[in-house]
Amino acid sequence: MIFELSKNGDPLFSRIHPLLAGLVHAGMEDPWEHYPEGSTRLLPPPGKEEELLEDWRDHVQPGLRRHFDSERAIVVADIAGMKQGKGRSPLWSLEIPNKHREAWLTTLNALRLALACEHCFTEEELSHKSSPDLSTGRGLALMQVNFYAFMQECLIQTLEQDRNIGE
Amino acid sequence: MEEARAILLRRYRFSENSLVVVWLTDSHGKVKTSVRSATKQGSPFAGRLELFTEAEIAFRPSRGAKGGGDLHTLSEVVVTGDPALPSTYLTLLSASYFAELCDLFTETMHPMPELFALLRRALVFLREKQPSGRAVEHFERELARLLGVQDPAIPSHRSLAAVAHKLPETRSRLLDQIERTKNPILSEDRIAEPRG
Repeated sequence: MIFELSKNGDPLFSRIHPLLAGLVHAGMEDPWEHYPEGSTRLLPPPGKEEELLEDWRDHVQPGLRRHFDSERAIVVADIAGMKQGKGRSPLWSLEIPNKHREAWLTTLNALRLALACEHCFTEEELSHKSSPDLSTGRGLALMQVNFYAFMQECLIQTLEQDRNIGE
Repeated sequence: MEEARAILLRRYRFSENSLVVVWLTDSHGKVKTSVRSATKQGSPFAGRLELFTEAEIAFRPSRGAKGGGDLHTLSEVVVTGDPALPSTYLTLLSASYFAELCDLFTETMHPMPELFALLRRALVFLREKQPSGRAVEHFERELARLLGVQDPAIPSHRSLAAVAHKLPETRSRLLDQIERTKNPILSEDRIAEPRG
């Protein structure tokens, strides 16, 4: 997979291997639906006091969820627009408009958090020190978390470059 | 020395350079083997211990086998000439799910040749075709039948879950991916319109 800027100046992941393209497509998953345990970390309640919790559940949480869902919708639409090359082992490409970068960072972060919490990954596993056992769901999830981290790094790099140019 | 035809189910690190490799064999059931220096350059096993590979293997039984030790020493691997699985996420998820089920429902050194044949057929299928919900159901039904837990009144995965307490979580991800492949805009319907 190659990361660069497209002719439009947008982040572009090209020559994406079908296996990694599958991981990108898995980014369409709704963490609340797929990782019920892990997703509890995404919108942590502000405390334990019952009244406060009730207010938070009624007035704050729905808004946060709506915001998250609208960010995720952007990501889903970008993923649906991924292009596949021709040939025996067709590679994929994904262009992310600059104005969608924040939505991608939010969505990938939420998925990583939910996956990491669901599978109780250790710091060592998350810091790439051990290679995942891809014969298990846990190993595949770790590969997914690490791959999303890489995508985030690429997008953050472009945001930082923009900031540097702005200064 | 013991010999068997085997499919590589799992592979994980044992020490810095060593691996534990778990096989499903035709004649010994599940076999766990240690492979020293497997990750070192020039290892005789280099390139032969890929997941879901089918091979003829030879292993030295653990000295403590009589006392219950089940980690044997792998001494030889001759890989069959089968082509590799298509390298897509969906195929990897399917193969992983089937392998996890085989791992979950087998005992070490307890022969289940029918299960070996079932996994072998499943991998042949995955080499040629895209995974489908029907293929997953078929595998689960056959597995339930082989284990003697099939109840025609309930779906096979429920029978299996009743025995194992919980099925691998890969199942729901796999079925979801299969569904998404059939209908790529499915998940978009459930959420709000994109902005911008």
